[in-house]
Amino acid sequence: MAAVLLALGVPLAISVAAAQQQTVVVDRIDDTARFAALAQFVTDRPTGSRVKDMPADERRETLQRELESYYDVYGIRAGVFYRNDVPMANAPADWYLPETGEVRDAFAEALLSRRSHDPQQVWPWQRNRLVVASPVIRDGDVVAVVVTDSPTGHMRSQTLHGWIVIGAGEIAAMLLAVGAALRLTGWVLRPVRVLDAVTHRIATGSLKSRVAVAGGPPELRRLARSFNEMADNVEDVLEQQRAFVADASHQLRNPLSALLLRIELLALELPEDNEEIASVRTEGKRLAEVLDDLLDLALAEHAEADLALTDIGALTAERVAAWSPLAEAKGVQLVGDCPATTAWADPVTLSSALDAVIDNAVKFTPEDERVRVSVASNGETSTVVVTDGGPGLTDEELVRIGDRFWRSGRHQNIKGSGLGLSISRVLLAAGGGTISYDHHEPHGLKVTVRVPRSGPAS
Amino acid sequence: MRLLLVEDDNHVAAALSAVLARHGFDVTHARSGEEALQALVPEGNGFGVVLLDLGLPDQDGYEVCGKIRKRTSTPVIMVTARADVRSRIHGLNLGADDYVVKPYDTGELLARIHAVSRRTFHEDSAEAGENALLLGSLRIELSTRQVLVDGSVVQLTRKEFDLLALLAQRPGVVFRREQIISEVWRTSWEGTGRTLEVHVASLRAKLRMPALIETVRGVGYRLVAPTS
Repeated sequence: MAAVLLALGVPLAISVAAAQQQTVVVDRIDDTARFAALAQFVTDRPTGSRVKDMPADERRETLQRELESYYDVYGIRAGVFYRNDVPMANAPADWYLPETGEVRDAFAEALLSRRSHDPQQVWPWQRNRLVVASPVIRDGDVVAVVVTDSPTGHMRSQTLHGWIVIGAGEIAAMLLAVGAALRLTGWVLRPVRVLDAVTHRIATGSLKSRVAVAGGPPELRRLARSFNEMADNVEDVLEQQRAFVADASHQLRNPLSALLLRIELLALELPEDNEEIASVRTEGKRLAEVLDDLLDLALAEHAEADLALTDIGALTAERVAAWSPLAEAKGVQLVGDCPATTAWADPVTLSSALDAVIDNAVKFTPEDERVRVSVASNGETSTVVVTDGGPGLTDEELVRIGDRFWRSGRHQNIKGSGLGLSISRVLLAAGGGTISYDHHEPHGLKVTVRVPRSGPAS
Repeated sequence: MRLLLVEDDNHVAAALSAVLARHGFDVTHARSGEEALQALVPEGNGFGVVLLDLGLPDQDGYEVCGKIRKRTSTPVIMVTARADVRSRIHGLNLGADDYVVKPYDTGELLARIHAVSRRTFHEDSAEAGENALLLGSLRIELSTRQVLVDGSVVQLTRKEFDLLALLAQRPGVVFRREQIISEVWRTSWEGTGRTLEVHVASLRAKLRMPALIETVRGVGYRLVAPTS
């Protein structure tokens, strides 16, 4: 746009300057023609005719007076010069033809009986003067030349004025164009921004968000409708998936029940105190537990966190107290450092997550080693760190932990389905929290649960 | 004791019926809510307990529960999934007496069956004004804690009497060992197993009715009602 305006404005400016100059030049030409006419009758005639001398001198005087008043009024130097540079009349009186320069050139041209060519364009930043010369012709011969040398101040200021008007016009046009462009892009971009915001909300878990189809070009309105359709489908698919897991877990209940009951019947046939039967019963129960955990996970993934300002120090202390008897029975030291700390979390899901983590820590820590639970906060987040004195995990294992059903190969034999930490991760994520794992020196695992300190700024 | 099992899955029903039969229960299987309601006509139709699975095909389990409650006072135990606290509360509100989680833990199921039927037993006997059990030539006076065989008193220790009275509450029903120990010895300590055997042997000897108390191998004991 700016380029176009520039491209159009420059010739316009030039033509304004040219027009101004042209006016002046035309004026001068008129003037020089008039003076030429006057001068035509003022020529040196061979002496001898007294009668004609007097009028010639009078005319010359007239011409001189004309030139002088011309000079006084307009400040334009003017002079009529013979072929030999001698002035017939000139104003100001001390103005003579210079040896070189524009004036001389114009004079020379005029001598060739041509009106001088149009002087070069004088720009507002130049201080040149305009020279126009006309020949004085008598009987077909050039006898003298009228030369005018005009100041260009006025002309230049007029040009400048014209240019300023053009400039102002262009700027106004630019502003208008920019304003219109902003409105247009705003009209197009606003729906895009809305779409972006809703996409982000869906991606972070509020599956129900939709775009209001309003405003913007028809293509974007169509896009918004398509987006809503897609979001509906995504929500449906996720819901189906969750329902499938819940359903499958449910469906497995009956076959599992029948199986366990048949095992009971078998047990009645065998001699009492048969050890295999006890093991079989245990396996059956384990299977039932996995089913239940699966169902929990399906429900957790569906869960919407019920967030509130909570004192996680007190909450953690309570969990530590709940696990203390078990830890004591096992000979494990369970130590808690839980100052009052606020956080934005769902107390139920945080309790569940902490239970899973502390259970894990106590389970894997041998006798006389310690499990330590500390609560702290820094800036934006509050943390609960649980460290244990167990065998810990290798670097590769650290990456995999938290995957569903994953258990380290070295720890397959310890009771539990492996779903607990995975469920915790999902539950925490629903509330904007995270759980991460690291080595604990000299040996053991360090689990860090992070929750935001405060709710979203509303 | 007669049990009505309301369960739509045939495999589960067959397996559960078999286990319950081994424990001395007489199980009738209804495959749907409708069948169940018909079986309970008239007035409970002599069933001691109804086992109701909530996942029925034709009617909402809760509806069936409500309807059963309207027709009869037979105790109802509903069967739910573990995590389903709301279902349980709802069912209990609608008139179920207790709940059991699927997959079944046999010991727990039997304990609950006994628990709900104990109430009605006491109600029935209170209503009837009975405080004596008559089983052929055996007479058990609950209020005086006296046992008579063919009219003559038999001296029993405290525990022996409690044991006999417990078994006599439900003739034919197998009482699991741990349940007997819980109720008679008031402990869950497993070490009392041999004590139980000793007491049973002693009872058999004193009553001179060796066929009265039957040993159900791997499970417990039951009282066989004399046919005379």
